[in-house]
Amino acid sequence: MKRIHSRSPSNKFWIAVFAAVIVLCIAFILLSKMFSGHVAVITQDGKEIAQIDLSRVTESYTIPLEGNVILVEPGAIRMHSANCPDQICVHQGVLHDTGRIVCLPNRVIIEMKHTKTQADAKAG
Amino acid sequence: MRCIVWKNKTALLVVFCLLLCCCGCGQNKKETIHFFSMDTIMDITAYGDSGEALQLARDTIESLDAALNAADPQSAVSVLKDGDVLPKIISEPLETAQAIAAQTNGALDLTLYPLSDAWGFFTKEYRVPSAKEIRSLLQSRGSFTVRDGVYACTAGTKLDLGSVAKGYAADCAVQTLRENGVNSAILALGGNVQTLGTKPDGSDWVVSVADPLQPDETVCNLRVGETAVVTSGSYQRNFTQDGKTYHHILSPQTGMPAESGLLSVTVLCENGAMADGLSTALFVLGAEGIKELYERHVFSFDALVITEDRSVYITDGLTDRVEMTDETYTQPKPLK
Repeated sequence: MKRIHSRSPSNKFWIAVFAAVIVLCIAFILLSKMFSGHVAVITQDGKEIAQIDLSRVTESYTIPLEGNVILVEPGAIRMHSANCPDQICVHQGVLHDTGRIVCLPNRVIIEMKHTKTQADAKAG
Repeated sequence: MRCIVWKNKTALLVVFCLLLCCCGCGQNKKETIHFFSMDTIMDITAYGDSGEALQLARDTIESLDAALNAADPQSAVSVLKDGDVLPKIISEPLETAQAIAAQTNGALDLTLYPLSDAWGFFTKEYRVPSAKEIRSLLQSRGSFTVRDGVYACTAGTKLDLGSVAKGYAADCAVQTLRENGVNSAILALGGNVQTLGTKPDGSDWVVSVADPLQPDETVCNLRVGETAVVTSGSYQRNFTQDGKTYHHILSPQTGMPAESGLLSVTVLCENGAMADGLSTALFVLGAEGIKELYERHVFSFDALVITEDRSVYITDGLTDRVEMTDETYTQPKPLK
């Protein structure tokens, strides 16, 4: 009877296990958000072209698309050129960890994954 | 006996882990789709189990785009002839637009397509038409009436529902989402925002308003319930020629870009088509006209007005709902 008791984990053990599970969950959520914070997703006409982790980019390179050229740099991404008249997407500048660049005429979206903003949507 | 307790605790741990998983992903489950329609980018986000509802909402918007696009000669609105019975998808937004036109002394005009086209706002081949050309296009733009659902127009009339189309599409998309079991969603149809219900935790939605001088930035955040939030501003489509900037919101009186002293008007209203049409009309009217319309209580709406001197004015319903994010603008003042 005594032997069984000594093999059974104590309440302290279980408290430690539950606490560990909570800490691991929080760590997992935080780490997954941290590592996905620099991932840019490129789509054209609704089809995903590429997902790029900007924190792993060591040398600049370009991605040519139909009508657009995207420039990928260490920690940054932007629309390098577009064949449309207004050039709005080219003037939208550089993305680092949040935001989105859209080329309407060529239906290209560059969006940082898990972009978090204070607002749920933007009017205007 | 101890074994049973131990097994119970193991089972409890498994249940606890499952609950954590549910808290992490189940309750706040949200799904977003992005697509291009009505010459803009659209995002729809639904909370909870949305199933096929998002795709159905997209289908709703795309069918309206096909019907209401005045730039497409084959669209339902383009092939409309004198004496035609109006289909519901045209009569509904048209009725809203006509009500706005009637109450704003024609500040919203659905027959300006040829004029906007002459300015290049559809083709993006911008030009400043001559005064003679503007006068001629204003005189020849035609007119229409609707009686018992039948459309009657004079020769040369080109009906354009662009000023209410996105708002009406948002209304219909929300209806589709609701019919398919969604009760918490937010739609951003190219800057036209429409909410369905509240956020999953019951709190208000936060909708930011674009800075008209730096559209990638924001002027303020609005806390809103179920509503449409639509902004019209001179920054949204414009071009500069010989040092002067010309925007796309034309005055039906002059045929020139409206000069009402405003940078933008944001309208909040239950009905998306109404919010959309009103935002255009209110921009043309200017601050005084907005105040006068608001006080007549013919339409139920609220507005946030940004003037050229960076002053921000709000109607009564927005008191305590605005949080400024750009200090170069004034704190919101009552529109009086």
